[in-house]
Amino acid sequence: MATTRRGGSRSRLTFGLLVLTSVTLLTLDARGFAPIESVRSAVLGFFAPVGETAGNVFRPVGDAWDGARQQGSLREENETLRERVAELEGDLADAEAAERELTQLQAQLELGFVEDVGEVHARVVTGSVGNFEQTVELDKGSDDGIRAGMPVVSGRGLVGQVAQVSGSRAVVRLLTDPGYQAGVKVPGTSGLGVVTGRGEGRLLRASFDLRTDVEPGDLVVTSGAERSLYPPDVPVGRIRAVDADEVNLSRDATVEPLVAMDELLYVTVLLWEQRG
Amino acid sequence: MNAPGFRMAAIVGTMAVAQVAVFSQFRLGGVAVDALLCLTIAAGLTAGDRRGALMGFTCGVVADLLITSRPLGLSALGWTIVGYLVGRYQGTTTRSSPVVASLVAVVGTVGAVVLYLLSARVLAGLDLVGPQTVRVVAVMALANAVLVHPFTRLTRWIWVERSRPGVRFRV
Repeated sequence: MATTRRGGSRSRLTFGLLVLTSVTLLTLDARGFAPIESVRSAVLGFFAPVGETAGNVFRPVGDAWDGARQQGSLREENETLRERVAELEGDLADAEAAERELTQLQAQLELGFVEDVGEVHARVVTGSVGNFEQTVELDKGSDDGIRAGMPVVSGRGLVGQVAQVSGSRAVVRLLTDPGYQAGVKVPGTSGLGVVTGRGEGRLLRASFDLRTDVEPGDLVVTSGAERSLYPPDVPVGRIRAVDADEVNLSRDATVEPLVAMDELLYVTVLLWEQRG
Repeated sequence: MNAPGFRMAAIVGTMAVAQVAVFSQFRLGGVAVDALLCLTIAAGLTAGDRRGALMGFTCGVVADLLITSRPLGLSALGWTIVGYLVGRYQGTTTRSSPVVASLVAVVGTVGAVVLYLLSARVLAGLDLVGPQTVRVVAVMALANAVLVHPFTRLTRWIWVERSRPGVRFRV
């Protein structure tokens, strides 16, 4: 009986200590405790070849499975895409003309908002490990000049931010990851806002000053305000709906990201570090 | 480190590699099976509350290190609790049928995910609940209900008592 009681109190003591250690780890990580970052970086480096090799092995299997399941819908999608390509080729000609015009205007007004930022092009080697985070792993790391916190873009706009980096790998936290935040603005308005990720299958949430004039269809770009983590004018998404929050004196909007996060194959890391 | 410690490290390390190489790549309906969580539940079922909590903490820390965009300790906290509670349940019952083990795996998985989402909300200010959450939890729970059977063999092997008189293996 005494042994059982002693065993029980030992279990409770171990349990209590482990819970306390977990909470301590949470607190230390929240405060940016450097050794934790080092351990994470080492773990990322160690598992990098494992994830890439497995990704290369399983991707064809997954693609074959998806292809077999979606043969009918793929044919329809192909037709739709052909029509869309023709449409976009027309738009591209218009865009090129507009771009030439913009370049001339910039030169004249010396706005200077387009800065020379170094770029590193990288391949997406694998997705997230678990089910409750939105990340991708890239085949480039600190050896190529990538640092934690750098913005990541694709041809369409903002993808996310480098969360963790090792010598040859970088993990990117996607724009849609819950709690992800970026300072934004709507071109042509003076108000600044913050866009927040809300997880897979949910649109982004943006919050602007109540006086900011935003409408559905407006493009949202990074603000590039002082101390911003992002260069200015990187496209983020398009506003789908707007509602005013009179209590918090803000204008909230749902924003559809421009980048399809589940179709990423290649991305560009902007060698930009926080300024100001 | 003693023999069970080595065996535990070997199993947890192998499961971490399997999680990255297999379970997170080959998803069931877009959902990754959580092998490390299943190992925690299996340890609670076969080795009691103390070792269940120890396995939960170890697997949780490893999972947190693999998931770089979440605070370290988030999984460890919830899985320590789940490992301990599963072990407590195992200590109060004499029934050990495969059906009961599967049911415990389902309840343990749901409990672990709920604790993870709650602690993310309360301690890290992250709202991780989305339209896919119920489907994710259901797939994880069903997968663990199946996986828990081979995994209990692994956890039994970790803490197996060798018949050497006068020697007690402890972690």
